[in-house]
Order: sequence, then C-alpha cells, then structure tokens
Amino acid sequence: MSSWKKVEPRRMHKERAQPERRQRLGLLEKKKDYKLRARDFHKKEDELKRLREKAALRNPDEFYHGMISAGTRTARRRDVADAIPARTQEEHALVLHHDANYVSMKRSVEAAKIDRLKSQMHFTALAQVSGGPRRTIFVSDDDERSDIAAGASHDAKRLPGELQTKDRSPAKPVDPAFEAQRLSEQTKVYKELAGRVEREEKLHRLLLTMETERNLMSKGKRQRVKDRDEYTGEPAVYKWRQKRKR
Amino acid sequence: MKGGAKTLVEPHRHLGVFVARGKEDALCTRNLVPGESVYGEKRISVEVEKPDENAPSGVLKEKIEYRVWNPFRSKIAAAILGGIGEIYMKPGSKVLYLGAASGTTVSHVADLVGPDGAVYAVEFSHRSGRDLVNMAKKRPNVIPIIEDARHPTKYRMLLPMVDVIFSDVAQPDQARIVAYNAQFFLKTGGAFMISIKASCIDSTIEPALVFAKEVKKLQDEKFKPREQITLEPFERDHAVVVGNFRVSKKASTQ
Repeated sequence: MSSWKKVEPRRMHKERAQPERRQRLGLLEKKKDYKLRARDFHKKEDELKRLREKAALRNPDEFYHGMISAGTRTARRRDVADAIPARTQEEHALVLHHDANYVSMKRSVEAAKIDRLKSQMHFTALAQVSGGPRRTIFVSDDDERSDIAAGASHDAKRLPGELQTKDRSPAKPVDPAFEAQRLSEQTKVYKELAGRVEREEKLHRLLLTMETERNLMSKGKRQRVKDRDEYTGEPAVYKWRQKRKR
Repeated sequence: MKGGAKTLVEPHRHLGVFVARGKEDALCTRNLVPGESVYGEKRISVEVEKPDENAPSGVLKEKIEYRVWNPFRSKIAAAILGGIGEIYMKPGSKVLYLGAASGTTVSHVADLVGPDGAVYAVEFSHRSGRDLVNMAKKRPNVIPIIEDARHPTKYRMLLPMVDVIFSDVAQPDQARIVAYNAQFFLKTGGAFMISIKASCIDSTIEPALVFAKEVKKLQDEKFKPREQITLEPFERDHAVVVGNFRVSKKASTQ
C-alpha cells in the first residue's frame, strides 16, 4: 500500500545551503559534486603514477628521430606534424598584399581625420614659435625708419601672438570658468590631433616595410643600398639589377 | 555649462577677420550667405544681443554665422595667422584677385570686404572657373572673370580702379603679370599682396633667394614692398609680400 503512503502529509526536505560563516568556500558541495571531483582526482593520480613508473623504467638508450626534429617553441613541446603548414610563396605574397591594403585604408582614414581637425584647429596662439614664419619688413632709406622704430607703421613692435590692438574692442571681463573649460577642451583636441599624426606616420612606415618585404619576394638580383633605420623605423632600401627584357 | 563650452568669436586685429575660441581655435570670417558652406568648411553660429526699442526685453537676439578660414588651404589666412602687419583689405575694399582657382579663398575675401566691397576674381582655367562662378552666384560682391590674367585688356571693361590686388598665380612671370594689371586697375598708393611659391619661380636656388629676387622685380615695377612673411607651419617654401603701388616720396613719409 505504498500509494497510500504518498497521500499522508510528509515532511518537506529542503536542500541544505552553505552556512553563513563558511560562505567563503563557495556553494556547499553535494554528493554528486564530490563524486565528480573524486573521479577527476583519481584519474590524475593514476596518470601521475603511470608516468612515474614509465620514467623509472626508462631506457636510457632509446632514440626516435622526433626527438631531434620536434622543438619546444614555448614551454610546451610541439611536434612538427601539428605545426601550421607553411604557406607557399604565392600565398604569402597574397596575404601581404591584403595586409598592405588594410594598412593603407587605415592610413587614409587617419589622414582624412587629421585634415578635418587641422581645418578647425589653427594653432592661433603658437603659429609664431621658432621654425614658424619669418617676417621681413622692408625699409627704404628715405622714409619711415623712425616710424618703424616707434612701432607706428606696420605694428612692428607688436608681439606676433597678439591679436588685437588696444584701441579696438575694450577688454571684456573673461569668465575664468569659461576660459578654463575652453582651454581644457582645446588641449584635448590638440592632443587628439598629435596622436593621430603620430599614428599616421607609424602606419606609413609600416606600409613601406610591407612593400619592401613584398618586393623582396620577387625575382632578380638585388643589393641592399641602405640599411634599415633603427631610429625612424624606415625599412632597408634595395636596388634591383636591371635585366634586359626580351 | 551644459554641452561643452560655447564658442566665443572675437574680432581680429585686421578688420573683417575673426577668431573663434572654444572647442575650436580658428580663424574665420562672417558668412555673407548664412547657412551655406563653400567648400565643406565648418560654420560657427553665435547669438548676439542687440539693443532694440521695439523688442519687449529691450534687446533683440541675432544669430551671426562665421565660416572657418583654413590656413592650410589659403595663403592669406596663413599670412594672417603668421602675424602679417597689414593686409590692406578691409570692409568696403575693392579687390582684384588674380588666380582665383575654385574660389575658396575668394569667398573668404568676399566675406571680409562685405556687401559694400567687391572682389574681381580672375581665373583662366574653365574647370575651376566653374566652381568659382557657382560660388559667385550666391555672393553679389564677387565678379568672376574667366580670362588669362596676362591680358588685362580683355577684362578692362569689367573693372573699376581697385584698392588692392591679390595674386596667387604661381607663374614664373608673376611679378610682371601683377605689374601689368596694376597699371590698368590699381589706384595710386593702392596695395598689393602676392603669394610666392618658390618652386614655381625657380626650383634650383634657395627659396629665400627666390623671394629676394621677386621683391627686387616688384621694386623695379614701381611697387614698394613693405613686408614679407613666410607661411611656415602651413605651407613650405611660400612667402607673401605686401606693399603699395606708386607711392610718392612725400606720401610715404606720412
């Protein structure tokens, strides 16, 4: 009469949880978890035992060719057989071509962004630093030498960075908070511009290197005329010997 | 302040030129045709308050639009940023512009001289002349002339006497071309502004020497160069020379 047994009210068994103070140990382990863990542990134990035995019974004179041809690239041993098959020369050239196309695309994107930034950031405050424009004022013998000395003509005495004369537009009180925010925003944009310029140059050098590598895969006798520039990263320069075309 | 700092537009030392300060840091001119760019340049709108009796609050808000003037594309803008002393063009001036190309700089000069001034833009190439004409359609103060600047007689009927000649023709005989045009159209005491590309005149000698030779040529043609400025961060081996034409000794001392 087991079916009758089911009808009468029974105690509800709740699953036990990990006690609060043992919470750091994670979820409470149940029997099925233990079984998995134990099985795994014993598997590893057996394997280690097997390897120990194998090492103990090792034949010191044993030799296979794989011992020479297989290398250890990283910490792990790699058999020659699982290595990636080498590309043929044509395949390699094709890959290089695709890579170069990608780099050149990225470079033109960068160049367009630089152009856009440069069109609105004009370095108004530092267009006159050294290496900037050279101003020459022509003075003839008969006139204006004294004027120029006095700064009257052509604003000769004006500092280059100064944009306004005193008489026009009386100095408005500048809101320091506005000024600070403006400066920080400008600095951010100028930093972005500098970063992009640097990246564009890097991509350019990379492109040159790839092109050289691709050219080196072509036929013909050549000679290196310039070594790779370690400082700038420019690739070595080769010269191919001319061959008469038939 | 929400949405980043607002842009502040200040007048530049040269009349008609402005400097935008905000997120951008740019030279600009007041757009004659609000709402439109000529060559894809950025526009900056600024709201200003004007006193007005009829308005309820006593002030009327007005929107002014400026166009960013790219010094990497315009020699005049590069010269201004380099700190040139005088550009002679100001609101109301009449300017003869030789070598107008597609009219990018011409549009800014047109903004600068304003509706009271005029820009006579000469360009020989039909291809870029087409862009120039399209730009001029929207700006009443630009008169496009598709002619060879070497033959001013061909367009003499179109021009009055002008205050300033600007030239950017990049030809070895540029000084002669400018002088010939000046004889026809430039007022006595009027001003010239020439952009010199050293490699176009003589690529075998030092740029500084090319500039000096050109200045000498100009002096021989009754020009009085006042100032020369190289356009270094923006253009390589370029210079702009400004000065006056047919200055009498007495006038020059004033």
